Amino acid sequence: MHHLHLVGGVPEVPSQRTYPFLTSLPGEGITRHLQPVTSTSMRLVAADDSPAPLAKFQAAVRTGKARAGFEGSLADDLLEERNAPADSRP
Amino acid sequence: MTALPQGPVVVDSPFLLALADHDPLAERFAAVLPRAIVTSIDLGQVMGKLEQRADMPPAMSESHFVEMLGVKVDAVDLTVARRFPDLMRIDARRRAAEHSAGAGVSQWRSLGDMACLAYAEEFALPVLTGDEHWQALQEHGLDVQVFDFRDPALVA
Repeated sequence: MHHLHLVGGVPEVPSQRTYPFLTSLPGEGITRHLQPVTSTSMRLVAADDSPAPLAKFQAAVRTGKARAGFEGSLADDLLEERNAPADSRP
Repeated sequence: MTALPQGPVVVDSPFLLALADHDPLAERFAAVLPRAIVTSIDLGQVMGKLEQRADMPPAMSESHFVEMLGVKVDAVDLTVARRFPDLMRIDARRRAAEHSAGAGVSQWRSLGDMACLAYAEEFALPVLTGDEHWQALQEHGLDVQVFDFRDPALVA
């Protein structure tokens, strides 16, 4: 069952930019919310209770990491760059 | 136990990367996403890392975070950038203290660090990060609520 919730203050239909997400809803089995972006447009975002978008994203990242041959933690990889000792940087 | 404050939360690059990476410690805070704000600079850092290590086109990672997961992206404007010098002074005090203590001195700080902290400071918002070094900055004058997603005592 899909639920669309209009968040208060949205006066018009979605803009062309956001409209395609409406059409993709029925086949995805994802609960989403509409949120206003401007006074004349709104966007769809995932609801808190829907893990599907995150799970899809994580699956894509996992596949990409395997393709790139990287097995470590992405966050730690970034933090190592950020917090490298001062004398180890070029 | 410490609870993450209600309302908007500024999220740092390592948190978003950990979430994308299926890190169970980050996943505890997945429900924060609809009220999460990331600076455009930090999102750029995330997109760069995802392309580098996960072969993901930047447009795809941007779409996932912004359109699918509802993370709000905000620009770093001049009012935020004006806080950079103060943050650099705070970090200089932190480095001096570490040096005096004989500890290895870590380098400041990527542009992403400064953008995230300056934004949070400007708008008086809490930050969710995975960078444990930020706790040390609080001891040297950082006026931002910093929460580490890896802290087992932290709850959403």
